[in-house]
Amino acid sequence: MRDRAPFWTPATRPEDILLEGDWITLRGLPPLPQVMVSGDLDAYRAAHDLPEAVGLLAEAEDPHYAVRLARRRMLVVGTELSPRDAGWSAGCATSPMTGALAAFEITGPRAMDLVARATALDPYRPSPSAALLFAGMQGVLYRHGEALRLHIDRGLAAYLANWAAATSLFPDGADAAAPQT
Amino acid sequence: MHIYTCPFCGPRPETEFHFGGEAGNDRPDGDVPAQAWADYLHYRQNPKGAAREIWIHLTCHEVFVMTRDTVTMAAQPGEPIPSDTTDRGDA
Ligand SMILES: [Zn+2]
Repeated sequence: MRDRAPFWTPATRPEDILLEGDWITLRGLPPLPQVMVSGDLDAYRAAHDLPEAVGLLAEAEDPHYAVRLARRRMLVVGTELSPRDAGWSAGCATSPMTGALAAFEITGPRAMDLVARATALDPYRPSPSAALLFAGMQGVLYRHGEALRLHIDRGLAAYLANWAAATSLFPDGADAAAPQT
Repeated sequence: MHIYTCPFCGPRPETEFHFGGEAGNDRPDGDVPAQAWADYLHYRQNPKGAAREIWIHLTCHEVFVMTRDTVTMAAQPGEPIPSDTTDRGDA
């Protein structure tokens, strides 16, 4: 059978993505432990000693935290869940998301300029949900320390790098976003 | 860009939403005449002015009712659907 492998560009590892512009950096993180929780969020938070789930552009703090995605759904970061333990339990459905979502950090004084290119959201207006459409992708956006953290589908990491590189914020972006072999 | 207001998330860009049809166009139940099926499937009210519509916020999956003026495009904040049990609780 014909070998079609060379037709496809090599998959980009999110943690290999690094774009540096003037006063802004976009960096992929190594996989973060993540669990999606749906159902009785208060009960889950109480049972796992989690703080209130943060909303859009709100500040999350280590070692583990929750980010609100919907009325009855949140993403827990910093907690690993074995697929063996996933499913319904105590009013909640839990799903491992570590491999599903790639996390990025946007840092620098112009970090919010990239957000402005990605969404028409009002950045000064709080929203209880941190889920948004970011450059057309389903994403999760909040603050973590000095950085903005963005989670997107892992398979879209290369698209995010290409999209960001094409903005005027990263003058040398085209080379940096090329797949690394 | 229009800004619509999800009952849970608040004001969001229109691209985060999907139109779900006219509000109140409920599926006929039981043994119903052909005309009722035709009304449900094919005929819309398309009012000039205030229109009650079902919208879905794609990022949080909230399904809600929004009143939108079909002349001025002004949109009222979304309202939770009263029969929707998922809107009780932890907001
Ligand atoms: Zn919403």
